Amino acid sequence: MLRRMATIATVVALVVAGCSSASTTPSPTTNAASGAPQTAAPTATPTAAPAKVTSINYWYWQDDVTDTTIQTLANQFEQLYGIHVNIQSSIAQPNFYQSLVNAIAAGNAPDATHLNTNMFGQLIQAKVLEPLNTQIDAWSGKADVIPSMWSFVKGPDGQTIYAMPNKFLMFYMYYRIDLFQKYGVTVPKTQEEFVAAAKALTHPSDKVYGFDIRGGANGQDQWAAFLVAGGAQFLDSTGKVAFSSAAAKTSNNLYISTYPDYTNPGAINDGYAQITSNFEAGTAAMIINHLGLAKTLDKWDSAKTGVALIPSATGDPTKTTYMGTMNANAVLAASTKKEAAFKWISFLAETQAQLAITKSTNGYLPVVTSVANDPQFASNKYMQISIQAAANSVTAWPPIPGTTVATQKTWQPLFQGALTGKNSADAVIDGVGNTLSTGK
Amino acid sequence: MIWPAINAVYLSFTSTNLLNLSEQTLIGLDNFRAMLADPVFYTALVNSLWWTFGAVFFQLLFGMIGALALNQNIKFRGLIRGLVLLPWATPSVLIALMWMWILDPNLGIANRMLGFIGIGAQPWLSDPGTALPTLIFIDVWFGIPFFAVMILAALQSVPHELLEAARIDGANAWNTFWRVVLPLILPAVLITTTLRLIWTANFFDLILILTNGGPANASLTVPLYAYQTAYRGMDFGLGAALAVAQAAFLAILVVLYMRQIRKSDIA
Repeated sequence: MLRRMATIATVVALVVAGCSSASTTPSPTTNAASGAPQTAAPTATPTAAPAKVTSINYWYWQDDVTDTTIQTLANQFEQLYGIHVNIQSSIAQPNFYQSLVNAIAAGNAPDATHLNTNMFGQLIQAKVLEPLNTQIDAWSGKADVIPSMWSFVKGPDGQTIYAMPNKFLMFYMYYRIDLFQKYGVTVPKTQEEFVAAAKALTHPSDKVYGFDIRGGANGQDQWAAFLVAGGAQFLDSTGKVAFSSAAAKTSNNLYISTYPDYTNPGAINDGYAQITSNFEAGTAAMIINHLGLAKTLDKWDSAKTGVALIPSATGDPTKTTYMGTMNANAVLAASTKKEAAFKWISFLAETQAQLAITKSTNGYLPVVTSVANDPQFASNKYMQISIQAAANSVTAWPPIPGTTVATQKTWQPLFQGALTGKNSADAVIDGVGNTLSTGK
Repeated sequence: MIWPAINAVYLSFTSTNLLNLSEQTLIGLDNFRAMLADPVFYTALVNSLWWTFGAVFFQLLFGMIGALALNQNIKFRGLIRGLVLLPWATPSVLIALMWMWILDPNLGIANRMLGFIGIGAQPWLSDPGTALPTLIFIDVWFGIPFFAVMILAALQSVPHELLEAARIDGANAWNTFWRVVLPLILPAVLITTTLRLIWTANFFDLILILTNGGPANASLTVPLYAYQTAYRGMDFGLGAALAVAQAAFLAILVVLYMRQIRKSDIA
């Protein structure tokens, strides 16, 4: 009997392990897309390419799979410097980090990779990212990078730079101008006014709800942006986790108080697609997001879309910290082609590449002064509100190991638990704070 | 094939960070102790039992009914047999996205149709009480074709002579099914059911996309929790312990099934 059980257990374990191993080790494929340029082409003067072509592997995720900007830039980079960039862009953002970790563990990591600030902590701790201070000091484009951008790509020591700034985003509030006018509501500046506005905008008989709270996938960013504007801080001045605070709990209570009466039905599970659809359909009057949504809404109906700073504790932007997020490019420490990899990621932070990226399908804030001052951005309300937010105190999820676990695992069940009454609202703050501190 | 299984068991006794394998250490049963002390594990375990047995029971029930219907001489039988396979042939990710929008509380067609007949909007996936039953419903819809096709194949192997003899002996349709057909197709049904139990227990694509185990862990199952622990929490040792616990549970299930076969003298 025992023998039979052991045999069967082995067979079942094989089935289980076989299933899981098949889904956890994707083999990278090269994106060979080389369609017509969708954006302005860099205009740097080509130099003679070396006879021997160096080839590097670069991973990034596409927010829009039809966007060929990076491939176009890679083609131009090869013409300029004779370095071929094998681009892996087929992994979607939600699975990107896991796939990258698998590749690193398998000794198959790319030479350079795109990363979000939420992903930095564990990679820095495991020393898989190459410190870039020396290369950046010698890079001619350093002076053009907006100084505050460096804070997003430094490690916990506040000195070591682990990535090159590339795409910058600030969180702000989108609101439906027509619904605000219809119900006679003014745009809220404080968080108390925000809750009052959500209430005033909610008219279930019209299928209109004040706020789509995004309790599902990746909703932690919108939540954290609200709390940060409410006075929460991730770290104190000594670099210690200080998330669990009275200000964080007050702001969290206000945020959660909109559910369920003033939020869309089903908001507890809502992700990016749902908040976008509900906003466009006019069933959600307010949502929080960043510039990534702007072009989608512009194509839909820009006249109905208003933008405002995230309501804060005081209502005074100069006394408020706003949250941003950075998608940056890093060189892997295991790469044997670090020089070429750095050349590529620094190219992506230079003026012409930045111009192309900021004009791409999704649109991002530039990380260099020469592009930030471009007149085209003066007339763009989404860029303007982002720049307005960034002009004040700015923060992001900290580059510590606990950030990855807090954002990927801890937040959602606790936040949803608070919405359903399964746990207290304060438990969300304490739980996320504890994960940030311990990494578990 | 055997290495991943052995490695999964080995991992469950270690503290492992994929980003720093040089620091992997053996920690004995600590991961299993942590698992047993974790209340979320028990939530996931109970959900897994409902998910697995609930989904497979209804798949078997409706698959059997579908197979019996498809075994009749009906018009367009070939076409219908092909069409019923569509859910099974559709990628699970696509199915998840399709149902996500059908059941969307604000814009979905399901609530609109209920509205036409005077029934109010249902929370479907956004209420802790209805999320798991809704997911089971979707998996039942997805899995019925597999049962129907497997049982249909078994039904077609039943000798016509036996059915004819039963009819001549005066057996009605129910008695013919219960006393002649079912015993003959039972081995195929049991094998199909066992396979489907194992697959369903391990299957979490739908849940991952539609609810990610929420709201508030209301639809979290053990394999999804193992995945989240390993890849979101970066704790591969505990993740492997959860997977091993699931494998052990399934092994017990298979042993019970085999003992039942021997007792019933079906094998």
